Amino acid sequence: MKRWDGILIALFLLPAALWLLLQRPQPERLLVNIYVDGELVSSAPLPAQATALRIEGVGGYNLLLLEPDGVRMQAADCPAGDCVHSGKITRAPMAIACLPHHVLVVLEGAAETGEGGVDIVAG
Amino acid sequence: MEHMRKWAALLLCALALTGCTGAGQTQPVTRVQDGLLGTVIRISIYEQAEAAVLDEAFACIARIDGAMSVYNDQSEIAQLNAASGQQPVPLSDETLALLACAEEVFLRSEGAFDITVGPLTALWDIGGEHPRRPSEPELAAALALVGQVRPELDPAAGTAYLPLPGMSVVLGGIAKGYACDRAALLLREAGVGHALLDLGGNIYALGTRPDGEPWRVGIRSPLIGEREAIGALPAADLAVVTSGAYERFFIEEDRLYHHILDPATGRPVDNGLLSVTVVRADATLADALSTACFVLGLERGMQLLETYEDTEAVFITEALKVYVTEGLRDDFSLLDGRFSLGEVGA
Repeated sequence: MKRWDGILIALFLLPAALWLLLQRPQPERLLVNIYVDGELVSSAPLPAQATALRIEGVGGYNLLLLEPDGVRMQAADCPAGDCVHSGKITRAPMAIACLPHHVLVVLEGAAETGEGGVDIVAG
Repeated sequence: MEHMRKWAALLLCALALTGCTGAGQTQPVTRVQDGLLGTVIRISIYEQAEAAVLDEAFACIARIDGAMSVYNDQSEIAQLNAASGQQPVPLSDETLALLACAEEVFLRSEGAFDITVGPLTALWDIGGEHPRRPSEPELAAALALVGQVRPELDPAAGTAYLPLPGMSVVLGGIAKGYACDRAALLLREAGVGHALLDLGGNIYALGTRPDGEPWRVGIRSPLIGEREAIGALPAADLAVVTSGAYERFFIEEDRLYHHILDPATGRPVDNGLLSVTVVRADATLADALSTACFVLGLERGMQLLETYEDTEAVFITEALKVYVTEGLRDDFSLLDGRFSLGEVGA
């Protein structure tokens, strides 16, 4: 490496690389959007600590557990409890629905590929 | 000066690389809606698209829901069921065509896929307000209306007729697939080349990822409460549709009763399968065949699929064994160490 190469790195390329790194989009925190009967009733990022949230749906309630890495329906007084059985959602734009109560919980934010480079999950 | 040019070229390369985003990171235009076809519907378009395209896709699904849902008293299917044993009912061409398609799968699957299970689904009400285990006399009465007597379709008159009073059809095992196909066609005709449609877990992978690579579609864990993929396969212009015991169920006296009913016994299918995923170019048949295969079981389900061209499948059993058809052997990858690949007949 010649002397001028070192000077060029120091004066030009390293600050440029640093600037570029700062300009790269940072990972967004996922938003938990909650809709009741089609209306957005709550929109907040995933919490730093587990938090339970009671949602008053149409004709009943749903208890949502918000965790730093995702959201799941902990309890509900709907007849079948499909929403409670449906597990935890962890990526945008995954959703949990309680159809009897017209409650829809959607994770929104930057779409990511999941484990194994999966774009979407069937089933 | 020569060195200066070399560093400038390197810097330009760095700028170009930083500006790139992978296919999986392309921000899609997504819309999610619940309620239609009794499920959650999500469509993501991975390119510049007018909001009107999504409006049209959802309007198309809403139209199909309005015609074919049993939950809507005004739907064509609800009116057909209400007139059972009385008179033929006029139906739209598309509803008649879908009934005919369902009847063809009924014949080819030797009755495993049967839309006349309406009296049984109403009796069990799994996923409804009052799910329960029916008594033997109740089951026998419902089974008398299932299977043997078929809907009478008259395309020339544009009508259908259910000959037995109390007979009813449900299109829950095929309508979501059909809606998926219609919405995908609408998007494709609007010029969309990269999109993912999810109708309650029925997936249609339209075109490819924006970078030209096939989409990678995961197969959901069939274990209750899990949402992650246990395996994955590449898909471009393909439907990937799963029927699983984990979707809708209730538990009574420590026993799980799921929503896929065997038309022969009137009870939830109990043959060691947890889920069946069918992969083919159209979601309509993929939907019906996934249910048929789930009812038939592993070996007979595989045999049925051999009679359909370009149709592949993934079967998952209670022993956490995963069986894939010949055409998926090289493409399917297992992602979860609790599951292992099995060989039919081994």
